[in-house]
This record gives sequence, structure tokens and C-alpha cells, in this order.
Amino acid sequence: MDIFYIFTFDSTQQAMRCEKELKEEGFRVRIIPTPREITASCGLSLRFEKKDQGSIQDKVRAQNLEIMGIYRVEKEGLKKHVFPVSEE
Amino acid sequence: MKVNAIGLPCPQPVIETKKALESIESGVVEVIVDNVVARENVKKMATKLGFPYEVKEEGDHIAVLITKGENVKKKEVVESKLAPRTIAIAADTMGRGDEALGKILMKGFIYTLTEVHPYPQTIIFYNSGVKLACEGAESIEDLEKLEAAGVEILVCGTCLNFFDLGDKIAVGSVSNMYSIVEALQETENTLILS
Repeated sequence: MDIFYIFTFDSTQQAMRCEKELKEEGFRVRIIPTPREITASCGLSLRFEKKDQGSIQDKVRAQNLEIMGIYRVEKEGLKKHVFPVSEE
Repeated sequence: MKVNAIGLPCPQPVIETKKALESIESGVVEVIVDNVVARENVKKMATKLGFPYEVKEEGDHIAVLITKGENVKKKEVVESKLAPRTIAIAADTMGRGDEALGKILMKGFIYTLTEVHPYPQTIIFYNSGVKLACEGAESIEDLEKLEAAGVEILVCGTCLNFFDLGDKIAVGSVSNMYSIVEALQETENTLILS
């Protein structure tokens, strides 16, 4: 099973800015289309790995990057389960 | 039968080999080439036609010996998981308007391809689209996943050369206009993204 985390955003610009800033810090993140299971938010999400969750969220707070929600995505084959996550 | 393709520009070696193979009922066609791209293209064509081959390095030259058998059937595309569809990716951006947005959309498109079944039979990259299949591109992991599932990934060699990315291809195989035209014509439907 593939497990990863995503941020969702209010706007495409916020997603692009967040990707840029986190990449500049050397984080392994990538913009992906927001999974269908999440209806609220713009169409783009930022995907990252569990191990980076703490440091990425610190960075997001420090840089005042606007995010809308955090989700844990569990993917098995083409099946996807999405769970909202509260901020750490 | 011998085909001397030394010094011939791409895609001439493939054309000459094809002609030679068509001219005989069965037997061995020995193709002599002097570069790796030509070797790969000739090998690829043999594989596609379902003919076994052997490669011999002979000093500066490479000989590819292709055996055409009377009973060798064309390799059938029986990967039923794949749709008879070709997707041509003609740029590293999707749509026009804003380049940064276009790049994100294209990456998103390729990512999403891995999540929607059935997968296409072939994906072709040309013009700036080839950048998506080269070292450093985020889409590589998605394309590797598709390739592992049997999707044929063709990357335009002329385009790689133009962008000076000849040795940077990270997924799929270097292809020429012949394979591109064939792939576009062989499948039932084609989707061109630019």
C-alpha cells in the first residue's frame, strides 16, 4: 500500500507558491491533482511523505504559507482512501 | 543478405533494414551500423516485427543479425489491460496561457494517467514534451510505473538531440519518426496533448 500526505489549497497560486518554497528548502514534494475524494479545495494538492510531515508543517507556519487542509492518502492499486489529518 | 548502414543518417538504417527484410521470405539479414542509436532502432524494429536478432560488436562497427522465419508471427499486443490508444505529448506544458501553470497541468496529467485504467498502449513524446522523460523530470516515476505495466514509451530522438538531451533520457526508448507515425496510425484512437 502506498501512503502519503497532501496539503490542499484555496487557490492554484497558493499551491504553486507552497511547492516552490518547500522545494527551495530541499523538501521532496510534488504537485498532484487533488484526489477526487476531496471535493473542497482547488484542483491542486501538494504531496509529501509522512517522515517530512513535522518539518514541512513547521516550515509552512514559519513562512506563512497558506494551506487549506491536510490529508492522509492510502492507495492500494487504484483504490484510494483519504483521511483528514489534524495539524501536528 | 547484408545491409551496410554505415554513415547513413537516422532513420535510413531502419528503412534499409525493413526493405531487406521485406525482400526475403525467410533468412538472415545482417545490418552493419556504426552508432548506438541506429543499433537500438534496428533492434527495436526487429522486436516489433517479432524476429529474433543477435548483436555482434566488430571494432568500430556493430552487426545486428536479424532472422526472419517463415513461421514467426508478429508479436501480438495481447496486453488486454491496455487500451488501443496512443497519447502523443507534444510539449512540456498543457494548454497555452501561462507557462508555469501549463507545466503543472502536464505533470498532473501524467500523474493522473497512472491512476486511470485502462492504460494507453503507447505514449509518444516529441518537441519539448521529451523533457518530461529526461533526468530531473518529476514525471519519470509516473512514466516508469506506466512502462512497468506494459505501456510503450517512445521519445523522439530528433527532439532529444535538438534540446541537447541525447544522453539524459531516463525512461522509455529513443524513437524516430517512423515509429511515431506507426504508433499514431496503428491504434484505434490518438490523443494529442500540446
